[in-house]
Amino acid sequence: MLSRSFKSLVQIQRPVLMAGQSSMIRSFSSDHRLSEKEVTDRILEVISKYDKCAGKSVSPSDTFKELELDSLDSADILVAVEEEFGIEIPDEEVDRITSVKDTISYIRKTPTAK
Amino acid sequence: MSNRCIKILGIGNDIVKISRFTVNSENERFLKRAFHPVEIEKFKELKLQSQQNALQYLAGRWAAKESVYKAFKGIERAKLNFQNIRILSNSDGSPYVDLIENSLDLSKQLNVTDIHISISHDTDYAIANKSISIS
Repeated sequence: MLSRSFKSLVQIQRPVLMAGQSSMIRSFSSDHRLSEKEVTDRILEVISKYDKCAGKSVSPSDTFKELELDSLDSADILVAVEEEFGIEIPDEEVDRITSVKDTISYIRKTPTAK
Repeated sequence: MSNRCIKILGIGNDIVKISRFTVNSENERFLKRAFHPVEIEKFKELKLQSQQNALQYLAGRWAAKESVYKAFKGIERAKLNFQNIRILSNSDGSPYVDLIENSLDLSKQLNVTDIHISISHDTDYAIANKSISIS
């Protein structure tokens, strides 16, 4: 009886896909890319909120050095960017990101960024 | 007196305000990005006793890693990930550098023989100095 109840529970929870639905799901996930404008706006907002950038005008062409950010600031900001987009940037990539533009490019080429 | 000739690859130093680790040290993602699991464990152990001592420890380790990077002079950061520059302690409490993975590979390529390190703290700041010797 117990095994029958468990079986029915599994059957209830399993999604039932009609013909055509599965392809809709696939195409949604493969086409889901954030626009350059959205990525830029969100990154600029994250950086502008950082203490050391308060009151500064942050532009997409700024390097972290131009914003007077040191290595610890960069680490803090990139952790905030990871949290904003729900991703994890590999360590070797993090060490190559030294500007707002690099950050935007990395997020743009990361399909899992949301 | 020894006639041994020591070549210095580079020297590096760094200073950091200890309070800069107050917020980010609560973030596991930040800790894993910058520190080796052994260092994180030690930080958490110290934190149970004293928040100030724990932050001082973390700031000293960060300054030490940054000064190692500077002493390697112009090497791209991707070859010197901070988790792979471990700052450990001898039984007498003195710090030493233990390079692992890509940082160790780099030191071998450059024939590094010794890394000398010193870390100090004073209330608000932590400072570290390094010199790297090669054969």
